[in-house]
Amino acid sequence: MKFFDHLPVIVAVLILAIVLVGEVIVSTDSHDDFSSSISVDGDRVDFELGSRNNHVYEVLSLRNTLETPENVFIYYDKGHISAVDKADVSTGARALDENYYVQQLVHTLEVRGINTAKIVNAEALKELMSSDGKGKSVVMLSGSIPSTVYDGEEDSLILKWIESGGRLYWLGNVLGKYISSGDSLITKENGTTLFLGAECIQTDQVWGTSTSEGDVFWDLLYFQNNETTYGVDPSKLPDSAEYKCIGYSDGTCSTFTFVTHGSGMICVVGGEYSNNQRMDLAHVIAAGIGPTTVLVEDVKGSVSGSVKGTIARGDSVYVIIGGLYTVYCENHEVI
Amino acid sequence: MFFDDKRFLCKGMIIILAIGIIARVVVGLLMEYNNDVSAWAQIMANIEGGNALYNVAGYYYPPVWGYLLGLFTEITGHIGLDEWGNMVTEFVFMIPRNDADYTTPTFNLVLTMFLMISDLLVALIIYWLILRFTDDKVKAKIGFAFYFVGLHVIFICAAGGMFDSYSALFAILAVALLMTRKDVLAGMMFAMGVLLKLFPAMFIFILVAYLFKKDRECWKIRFVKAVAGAVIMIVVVMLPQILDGTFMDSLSFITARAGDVDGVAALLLKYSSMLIYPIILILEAFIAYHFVKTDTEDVDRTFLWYVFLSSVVIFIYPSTPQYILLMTPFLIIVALMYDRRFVKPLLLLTVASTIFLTSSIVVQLGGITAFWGAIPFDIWHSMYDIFYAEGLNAFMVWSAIGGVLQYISIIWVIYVALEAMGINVKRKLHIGASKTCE
Repeated sequence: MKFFDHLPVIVAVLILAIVLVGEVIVSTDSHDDFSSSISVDGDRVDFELGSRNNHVYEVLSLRNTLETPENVFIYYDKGHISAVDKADVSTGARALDENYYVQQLVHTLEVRGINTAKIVNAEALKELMSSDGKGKSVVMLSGSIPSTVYDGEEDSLILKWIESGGRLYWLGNVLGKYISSGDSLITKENGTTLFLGAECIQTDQVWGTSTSEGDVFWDLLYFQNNETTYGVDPSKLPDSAEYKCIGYSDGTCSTFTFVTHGSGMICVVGGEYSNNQRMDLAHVIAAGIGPTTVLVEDVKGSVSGSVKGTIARGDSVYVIIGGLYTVYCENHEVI
Repeated sequence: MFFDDKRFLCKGMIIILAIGIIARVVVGLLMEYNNDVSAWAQIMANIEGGNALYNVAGYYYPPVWGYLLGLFTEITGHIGLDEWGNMVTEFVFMIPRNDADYTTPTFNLVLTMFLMISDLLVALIIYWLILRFTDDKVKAKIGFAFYFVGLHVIFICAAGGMFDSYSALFAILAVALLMTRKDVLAGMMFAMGVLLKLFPAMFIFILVAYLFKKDRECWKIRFVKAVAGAVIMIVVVMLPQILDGTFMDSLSFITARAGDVDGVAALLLKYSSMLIYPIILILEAFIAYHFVKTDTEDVDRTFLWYVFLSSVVIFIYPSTPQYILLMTPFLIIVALMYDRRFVKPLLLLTVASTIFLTSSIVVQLGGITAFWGAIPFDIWHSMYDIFYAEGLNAFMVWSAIGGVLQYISIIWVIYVALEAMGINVKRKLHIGASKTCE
């Protein structure tokens, strides 16, 4: 029988074709395969989503969000020592060091609809923080703050920048404790108080097993990281502090704590470096979650091709396609 | 008899196919090793999000499996599989020991069917090889059945969600294609095997030795053809990574293993593998040398035997159960073509690998607990507490039994192989010497 005579060749050609088709798909899939748009209609917002493949979607109408920043800046300077513990590495995985994390975050933000993230070094950070902070976000995952913007005093550039409206996303170690100056790391005792009004950072390695009280975003934003190390203990915050805890909780600290600081905001992210933490953080930045953000409504469904829907009006509409395994996001400001 | 029919698709084969498919459907729906399968879903999301394989962390193998996942992504998108999985809040306590994100049973079922393609193709090539050498259809069909309804093959595909059967497929295809003088294609398959999971690289010595022994006069031409095929495939497969600057990331499966590790166990693992793998490479070279020096009238048949030896040697370093699939097709072939004494260790290997693989059974049943409520959460929690209690626990005992039995079966296979080659192991080891004296 001829089929069986040539079986190895037939199978080889078949499997070759399968792999090559897969290669083409991997190389050509893009963010542009998805789309979303909104139009305001009174107290409702109509939305339209597009997806080439079949996926679940979720549309969140949010109020009191921080508008999607024009620019997200991620601090990384290999000339300034960081204060980050080495992350656990799975077998075969590339170590998630600071440099790699920064690169990863840029790409993850692109999936979340932010294509303008820029990496800044200590000098560029100084220049950035010398101007008004409104509408700008800085992500610091170095565990230390460069001496170009922080000297451990109240009038440090970084503190004035946040007060002017800047947003600081912090992770990796105790906020305000370490100042990096080239190769040397200076410890500033009680540095956290300058940022949050109290020494309130948890340093034990802890994982949360429940969700933060009253929080809805852990589910809506598909949070995965539950490590709360370096998270904020809100009971230690000053009474006057305006804050919000979301994500997973160990009973004391949560994976995300947002604290208002002047006209700006500080978001302290719990946990040591992990891919889950990176994905959660990208959602939080892209959705513009802040200390007073509330959910107005959420609409879930399935999209293949295009789908239309309507949702109650808020300040912004955050679209997630793909669910936990997010393939596309976009934040639309409702004007 | 069950298989006694000249047609390939006789009644017996239809039953075997049905059993294999139904077993995979059932196991695929009920069980899921989420640490791996949810990682596949994340990689699929990375692909669809436009980040290819390595721009965003999550994929740590060479590219071939990623390309297969690319195709799988497209399949899921077109069959209406819109929800891939979710976080299970009730399981968050398992982190960091285990992940708490699970793919849905439907996703697992579709993935199982996708992985089954390789099981089916490997079984077909086993059939083809046995038929080619024995002209015995019954024996060839038994070979097909041994693989397709092999317990560990089913569980690795359906419960493990692992792609090692593709590894076996590329390896056995390279062997079959060399025998049929399709050298370029053989080189391509070998390269794809290596770029899937590296282990088939161990066959390099025996494959080259075959060309040399088979065609002393024109082996160089055939070798160049095979190398050309391999190089073409490597370039084609690696091209996207070369162009987008992620080439080194695509090799992290090798480089990260040789990188930093923490803890006594990890250090032991690292240094023992650094010691053992050079020994394995030397043994592979020796097997190839021995093959070249062996007097034989039927080079192809002898080649199959030595390929089998090459595959066994890889596993003198204890492995996880899924890797065993690389050796399984060749073990089945020798059990049916060379020496029936291999059947018992083969059966033990099948059972042992399955026990080893299911040591995470509680975690593997998490999907149906979370999505279907098939097991009440409190019962599931009780099971988890037993399996992962502090100190000696059920997981340790179960995996130790599976691992030890699996390794015993490898030793048994080696023992039978040596006996089959005329090496009296007992005499060499002086076992039963006193009895001989009497």
